[in-house]
Amino acid sequence: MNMHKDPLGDRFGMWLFLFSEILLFGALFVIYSVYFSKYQADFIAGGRQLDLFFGTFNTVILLISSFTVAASITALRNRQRKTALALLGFSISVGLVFLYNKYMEWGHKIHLGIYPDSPWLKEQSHGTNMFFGLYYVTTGLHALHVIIGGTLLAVSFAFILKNKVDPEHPTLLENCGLYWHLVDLIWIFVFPLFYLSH
Amino acid sequence: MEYRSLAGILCILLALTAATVSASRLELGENLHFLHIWISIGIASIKACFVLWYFMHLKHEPAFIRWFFVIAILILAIFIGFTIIDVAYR
Amino acid sequence: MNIPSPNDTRVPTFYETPSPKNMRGIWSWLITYDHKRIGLMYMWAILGWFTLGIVLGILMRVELLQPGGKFVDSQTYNAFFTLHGVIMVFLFIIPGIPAIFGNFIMPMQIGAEDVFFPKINLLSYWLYVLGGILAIVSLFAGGGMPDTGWTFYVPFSTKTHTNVSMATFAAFTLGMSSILTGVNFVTTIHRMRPANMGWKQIPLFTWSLYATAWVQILATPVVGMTLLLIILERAFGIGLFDPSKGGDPVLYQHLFWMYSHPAVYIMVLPAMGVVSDIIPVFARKAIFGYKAIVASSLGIAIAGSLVWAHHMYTSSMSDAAVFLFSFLTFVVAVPSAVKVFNWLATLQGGSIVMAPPLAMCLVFIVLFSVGGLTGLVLGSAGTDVHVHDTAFVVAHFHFVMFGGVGVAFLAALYYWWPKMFGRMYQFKPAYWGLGIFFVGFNLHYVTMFMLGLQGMPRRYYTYVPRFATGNFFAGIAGVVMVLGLAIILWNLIRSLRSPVTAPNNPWGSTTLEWQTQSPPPLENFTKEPVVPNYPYDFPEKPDDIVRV
Repeated sequence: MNMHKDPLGDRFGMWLFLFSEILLFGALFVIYSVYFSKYQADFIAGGRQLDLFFGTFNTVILLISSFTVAASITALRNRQRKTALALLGFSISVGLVFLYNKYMEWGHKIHLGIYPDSPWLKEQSHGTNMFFGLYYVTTGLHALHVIIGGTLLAVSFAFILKNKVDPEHPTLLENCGLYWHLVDLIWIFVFPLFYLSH
Repeated sequence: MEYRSLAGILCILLALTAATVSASRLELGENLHFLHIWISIGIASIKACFVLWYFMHLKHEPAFIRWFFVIAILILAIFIGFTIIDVAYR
Repeated sequence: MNIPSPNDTRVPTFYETPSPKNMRGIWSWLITYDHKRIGLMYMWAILGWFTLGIVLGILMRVELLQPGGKFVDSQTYNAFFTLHGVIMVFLFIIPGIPAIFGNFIMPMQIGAEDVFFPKINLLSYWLYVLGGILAIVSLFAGGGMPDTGWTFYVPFSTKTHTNVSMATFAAFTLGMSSILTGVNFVTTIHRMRPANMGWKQIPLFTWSLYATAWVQILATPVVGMTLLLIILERAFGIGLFDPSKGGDPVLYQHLFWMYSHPAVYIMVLPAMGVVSDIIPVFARKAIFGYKAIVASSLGIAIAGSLVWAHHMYTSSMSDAAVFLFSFLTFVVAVPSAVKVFNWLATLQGGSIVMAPPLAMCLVFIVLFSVGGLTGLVLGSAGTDVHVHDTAFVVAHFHFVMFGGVGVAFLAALYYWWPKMFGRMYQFKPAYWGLGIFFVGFNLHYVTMFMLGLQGMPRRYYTYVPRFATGNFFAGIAGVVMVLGLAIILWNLIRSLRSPVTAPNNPWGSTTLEWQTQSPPPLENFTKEPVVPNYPYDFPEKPDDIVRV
């Protein structure tokens, strides 16, 4: 990240990059909207097969981690360095929990024989196939972004430790925070589209 | 933003999450069943606005960043919308 | 006009001063933060890819000199046109003007020392190099060079045994490079202008890069995701585009063209920006309708994002979609026409000074207009059905992308060469080369319009006997065209042998890059550049421009 004398410019550049990420997931939303309109009943049935508890739990903890990331920026501004580090550490842990949940969910589904090109899936209707195909690609891509986001938060953590990020130079933390919030934003839409089709 | 305000926003977000889960369980009947997806997207959009406005500080950023965000969403809406026009009329 | 006097002091150029400071030799180039060095590194790579792309084009034409697969077999021919497309589209034209001249010249045009994110700029360059390497690797690894065409249509791309995954991943990497460049340029243009350069004082070349950068940011990710899905499809058989599993192959086409149509505006907007900068200088007259050109650039960027499915009229998409996209395609022609009218109105009544950059811009206007008009035949669904996937389409896009963007690329090289290298070239060989190129180009591609109208399909390694004369003739004309191109490029390379004597401003231009030394110093300017009130005022009558 660029240590410029223009923090607004730094943040603006980050927002532009976030726009590209939105359009990246946007392509998947295009596909979802097409197949949802074509296979409504199957999508609704597919949603019932996903684990609502895991999905809701993940939604809740991701929202909480968004709060803690935002709060860590407040802490940094208030010169509460240790609080900022604790909040960041908590956020990273939430990311890990999220990924673990995902791993459990996917593992369970794969165990049941529900995965791309599986024998069971081959016998299902076309709509069911599309639903689960999209499910794996979308949540997989999202999980990859959770990993990237968590890594960015860890980098911010390290930079705060080394005093390279401080109340006078908060931009790196702010920008990594923006990325984490984007990860949360994507999930805010993924959750109802896949888990709440009832 | 102060901790208190941030926590308040979190509570709103959690409440909206509860709302969207409950709404998905509502029996709307055959005629109104199509509303479900729009309600879900609607509530998700409101949640997104809170995250954008408060957690991501769009409230305090200059207007041009807000406008550019709107434009990006509009472009995505066009991509989805025009594709649906094709699929819907096949 | 700026003829150097013996008393002009020269400061060390950016060639002599590396950035970061402590680097030496090759490392002072490979890990430089200097936008000028990055621009030059792009230039040599891009010219290399362009040459390879031309060679592939010639090889294709050799095959088509006679019917019957006597030179190469069909599989090899398919690989030829795929590689030709991938190289020309992703490695030459899309990066071309923005990566070279956007990087070198744009910061100077706004009086800045560099781009906003110099390190990310370097990252963009290395992602570009990596993408190129992956494309080469796909030639030799796995099943060999893809044979799908650069459009990678399903179902063939998900089923063929050639190395589609590597090639699409190469394109994905190049897309990331493009997105980061877009982010960099938008931020730079917003944040690094001097206080007295408002939005209405920005040179038109910079404006064109601004509009382009937005398209790079918003459109590229869509094709990035789509290409990723091809790779996932080949690896896991998900079926998102596979009808036997419930998928829709036409949906792939939607997603592919959602980027690839705006991509042609990524190609042409900077080219038009080059022309808008050059024409006023050599007409010695302010550009006609500065605001209209700005508005039309933004209009093209926006409207161009709405028309993608005009590539899909025969794909079995709905009539409603055919109607919608055909209508919008006619709309997007309007802002392009606005620019052509403004350039002509600028020339009219001006004091024309002939020089190679202007000559190339005039060729651009002619060839781009022909290409654009034939675009109407394609954009109109009724006529498109007759010419879809024929040589007519191939001729159309070569007129706009080669005769248009390619020639504007040459114009940019010829316009900014003295600034980048401090040397002037000879004019006469440039005119000869351009003339030979123009003749060969027209004979080559107009023949293809005619062949297409008669029904010759594209991407075929052979053809029925009645197309033989046309193809033979087009092949010969193609060689003439390439000969002209070679003269144009050799003329520039040859100039590098002469000493560094170009003045700051050999053309008498008013944009800021000409207020500093040729080549520039590391920080671009030794004293604060003076921002003119309006970019293109030419109050004085021209002296004879500096010529060799």
